[in-house]
Amino acid sequence: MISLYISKATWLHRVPAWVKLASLMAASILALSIDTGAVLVLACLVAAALYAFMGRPGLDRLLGLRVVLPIVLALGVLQAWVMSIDQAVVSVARILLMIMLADLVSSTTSMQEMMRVIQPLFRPLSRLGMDVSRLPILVALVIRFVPVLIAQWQSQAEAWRARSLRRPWAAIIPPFLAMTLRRADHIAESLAARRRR
Amino acid sequence: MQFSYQDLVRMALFAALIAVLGLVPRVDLPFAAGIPITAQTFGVMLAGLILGPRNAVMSVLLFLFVVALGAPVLSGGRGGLGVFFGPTVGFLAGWLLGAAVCGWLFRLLLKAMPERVFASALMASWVGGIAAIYPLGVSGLMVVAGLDARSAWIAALVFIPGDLVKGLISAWIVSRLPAVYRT
Repeated sequence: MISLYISKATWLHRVPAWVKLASLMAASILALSIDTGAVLVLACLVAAALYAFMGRPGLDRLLGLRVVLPIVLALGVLQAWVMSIDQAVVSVARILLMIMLADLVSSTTSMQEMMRVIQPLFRPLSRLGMDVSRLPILVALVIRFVPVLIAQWQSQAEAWRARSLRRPWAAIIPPFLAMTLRRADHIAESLAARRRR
Repeated sequence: MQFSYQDLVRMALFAALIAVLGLVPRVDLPFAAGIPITAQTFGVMLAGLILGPRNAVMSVLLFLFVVALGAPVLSGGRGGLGVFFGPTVGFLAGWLLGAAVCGWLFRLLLKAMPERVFASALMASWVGGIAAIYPLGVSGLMVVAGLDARSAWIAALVFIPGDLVKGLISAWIVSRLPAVYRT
């Protein structure tokens, strides 16, 4: 699976993950308290410059963020319409700033590192009977399941096409789900047999 | 209250299912605040109906955990921490509540009328997948994007027809599943 992580080591990679996350939290609180459009736009430029310092991969990552533009710009238009243009600039800049900063943390922190830092936050779940030390294997299962599910869907769609002239549609979903649930239960049995934790 | 291996693997399965549904081509309605209509809420409804409230919430939580780790598994290839600062964050929080409500209500209704699987599932996925998710999603729009309640609701309401259809399909699917796979 492709992750957002940039594998080329930069200075931001060397900053400990918890420092990056703590700064991100601080930045979000700060950004919410700033109401001046110009300051927020300036901060956006600084954030963009941080990407640029990482060279080519950083710029690619920044360009990859354009998927959020339609949503954010549409919100801006709506806001300029019901409130004022100033207000629209403030909130568009604020959202873009936070998305850029948060993504910067994601792209310079490996999944393993992130897991180490976030995992303790899930500790309260142990009260609900959830053993947090199992999170890594669950994450691995999720990531492994994605291609498995796609392959299984494709094989079932193919089987449908062999039988029917119509395009495969909702009709193959129930057998698909039943099959994947059965497969999941098999995996659970083998995990239990090996007493994996 | 413990989780069996079966619970855990099924949770991972549905988290992965929500991720795969994000790959289904999405329909963007840019004039309506551009909230992408994704197939992903469909996964949330199915998780509630099939896993039951507790495991469904855990499964959505696991999915969000994978998102936070930086996997681009939200529709449109989004992921990473940026999502939690974006205007749609309220909807993600809504998924947690929606999965819980959907699973809880389905069990309740099914107990009251065991033969009416489709009707119970439809009720549960409409209430859990729509009535529970939208208030949180709209509050998110109001807080993050600074919209007032009226325009935030108007922006979000456009997506309700799509969600009604998703509820219909999930109810139909669950009514066609072997009973052992129902909560």
